[in-house]
Amino acid sequence: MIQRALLLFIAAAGVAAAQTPALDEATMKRLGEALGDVNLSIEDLGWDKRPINDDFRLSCVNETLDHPLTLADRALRAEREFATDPAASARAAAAWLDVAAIAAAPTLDASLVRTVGLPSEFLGPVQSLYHSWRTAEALRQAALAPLSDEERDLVKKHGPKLYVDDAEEDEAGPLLAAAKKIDLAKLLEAEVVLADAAALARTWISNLAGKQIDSTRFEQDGVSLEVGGPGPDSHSATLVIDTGGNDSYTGCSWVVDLGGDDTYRDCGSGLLACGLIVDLAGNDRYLGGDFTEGGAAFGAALLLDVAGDDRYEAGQCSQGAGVFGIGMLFDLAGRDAYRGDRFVQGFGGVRGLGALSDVEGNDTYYAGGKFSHTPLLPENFQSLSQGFGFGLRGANTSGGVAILCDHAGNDIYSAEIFGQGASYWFSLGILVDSAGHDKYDLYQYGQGAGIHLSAGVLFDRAGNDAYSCNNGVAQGCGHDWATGLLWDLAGDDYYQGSGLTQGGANANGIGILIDRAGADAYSGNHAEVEGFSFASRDTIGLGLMLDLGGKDKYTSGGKDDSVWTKSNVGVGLDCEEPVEK
Amino acid sequence: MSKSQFAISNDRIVLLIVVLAIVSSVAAADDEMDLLWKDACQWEVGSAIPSMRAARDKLIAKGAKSLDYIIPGKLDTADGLVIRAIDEVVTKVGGEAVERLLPCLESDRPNVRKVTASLLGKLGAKEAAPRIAKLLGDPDARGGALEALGMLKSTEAVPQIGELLATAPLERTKVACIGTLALIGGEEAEAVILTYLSAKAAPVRFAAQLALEKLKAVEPLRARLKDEDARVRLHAIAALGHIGDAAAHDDLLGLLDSASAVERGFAAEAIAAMLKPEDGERLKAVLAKETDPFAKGKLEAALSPR
Repeated sequence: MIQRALLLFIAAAGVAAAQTPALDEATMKRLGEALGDVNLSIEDLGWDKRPINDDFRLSCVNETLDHPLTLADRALRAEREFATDPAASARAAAAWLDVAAIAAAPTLDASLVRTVGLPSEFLGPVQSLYHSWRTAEALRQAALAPLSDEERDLVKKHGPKLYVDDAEEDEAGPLLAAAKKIDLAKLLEAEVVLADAAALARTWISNLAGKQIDSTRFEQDGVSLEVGGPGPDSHSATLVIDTGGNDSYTGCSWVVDLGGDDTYRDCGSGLLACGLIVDLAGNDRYLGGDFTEGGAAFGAALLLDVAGDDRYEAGQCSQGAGVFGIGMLFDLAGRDAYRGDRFVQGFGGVRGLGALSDVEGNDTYYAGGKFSHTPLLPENFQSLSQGFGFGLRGANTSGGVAILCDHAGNDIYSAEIFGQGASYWFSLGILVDSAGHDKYDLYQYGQGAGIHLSAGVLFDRAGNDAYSCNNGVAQGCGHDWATGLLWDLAGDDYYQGSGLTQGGANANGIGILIDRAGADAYSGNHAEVEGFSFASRDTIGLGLMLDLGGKDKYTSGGKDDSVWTKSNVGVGLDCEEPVEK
Repeated sequence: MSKSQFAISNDRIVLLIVVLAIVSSVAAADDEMDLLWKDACQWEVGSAIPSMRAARDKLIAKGAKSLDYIIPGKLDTADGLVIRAIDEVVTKVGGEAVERLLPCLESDRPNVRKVTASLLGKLGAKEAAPRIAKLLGDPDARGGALEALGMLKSTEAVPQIGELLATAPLERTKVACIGTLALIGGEEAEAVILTYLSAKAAPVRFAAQLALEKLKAVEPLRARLKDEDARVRLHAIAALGHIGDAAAHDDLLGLLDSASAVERGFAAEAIAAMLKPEDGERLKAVLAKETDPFAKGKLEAALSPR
């Protein structure tokens, strides 16, 4: 009951957000005032931050670089469009990737010839799953049809290494030239097929959950299919439907599991494939390497876990990650734990959208611990995760869109270098947390930051939150012709930053922190906090922070109920602006 | 066939061995240079610093041999890390670098022209300024040309740079022009820069302000305190405050009575940089009636002991 009420509340909040400008009138007014105090205006934020172009640029990236305040609109839109319904999200993803429209899935002659004596109630679901798989695969192949045979071979050989092998970026030219021809609309159509298949699978629970059936395996046109019953089964077929029990899955492409505490190993990969996992109940464990758990490259992937306290572990490009394709992970309930190496938990690479939506529960997210950030910080590890977009700077290639939306619960986000609503090189990264008292921990680069001609936003709608960053370029920061926004709407929050944080910018970027309400505390152990920027390339950047409510504390230049300026063009404004209910 | 047909004289064998030895030593030397160059072009951070430093030092010690290797072979690049390695090695070797670089200004490769111009500036090759100035009309190379002309303090190029500033569509080109004029200096450059305090694009306006600060253009800035454009007035106040020349003190003090709270705040901050003992009473009096939080903060800061 409480869960339902919460979902209704979230949905209502989403609708309300859709009908109102992202930033309220009072915020816009105070923004204008603060900018006026450093001889700027809101229009001035549109200064040129795009000195170069390339063939992979997404319009949402250009938009958020040209108009940094639209980061707030993008955050609300992500919250609204990536919530509980994968099919709606898959369709919404098209606009983020500049795909005009998604056609209806083609009708295929994909009837199962052999059903090896399956009970009648299983015939429809098995037939349907097989048909959807064939349809999605046909769409994926159609997406690659514009490429020559040689180009397709190149994509197959080098595509899997792009991102996961650092050495690949410098040699990526021919691969990218080939991949540019991929028909992204077809991959989005495939994602819709996956999402529609997941929606249909959810309806099977009433008829099939716990249904007794002896485990059966058969093949059709070289594709293996398995049907499992309520006992503990071990599956390794391409397509699987299991009615319950604590099952084990290894290397399966499409799985529908109706119950039990299950373990998945390297399932649902979207690497040069379409991968789907639908798990309707139980406390599950997902173990994967690269491109798993809703991770896709040159393909499409979806993981939908409807209930239970789940654990996700993966390597790279997983847990809602997309590179030349779309990968999504939806977890609708439970206390979940996500752990990955890098490029995970909402990651968008070139021409990709990766999204993770966790709807309920007190969740923990960790990314890092494996790939050293050599040579810059060899003792620290890269994360590049948790709503992180990443382009290929060495190949002058824009990145994609990354979205992490956690809609409820007291959540803990932990990342090392690069993460939490941020992006690098002509990409867009978004982290939205809609409710709960949350903790954000980061070593460097993130929490609403754009890094090198890129854009990022962290939006926290409610709760008493804590933000911590050891080494700067975080908490509303624009680094090198980039834009970053940290927007916290409510609650008594604590911000701890070292280095350029809390509305900071350098090298002509724009970094903004807006805390709309609550008694907050801001601390930093360097001067470059609380509205700060460095001059560079003979002109300015802009660091701006606004605190529009509550009795607040500052350690480094800010003061409650006052306006201050710092450095080259840095400004802070603290005042009382009641929030309209 | 007789055996003699295959006979090779001892002299020929010796010659062959010598040729092979030369070829292999040249190849080994090339390999050594390639390896050094790879290390020299690393990012100058963290764990890469020792090998980067050692490689650059070795290349510098090799002198003319490194110039042979770099010019023109390595100049066709837009990679910032490579350009930084080129800059350091070529400028520290010096010697015949200018002579070797001059023909590269006419290269058919845009990156070569751009990098060459910049290098000639860093090498202080004043004689190259007219040839470099020609590249201002070259969209691919003008960035390097502007950099060089600034470093060479090429006053002759001011009209051309002013023309480029007026016609360039891109903000960053305008900003670079202003930066170059600031490095060149002089009344003519200053006059051009002043007109851009009212530019539409914020980076250009601020570039003009920063340039005038660098040039310590006190008198022209004082004149702008009465400009009809409020933004220009604020730029002038801020710049005068940053310069800190007492000549502007009285003008700025008068602005404490401005109708604009932002202007009062800017003036208070600027006066703080040139504070006279007798200003305290005046500032206190203004503060007593000030209601605007921004102006108030700046007045309080001006009055607070440093």
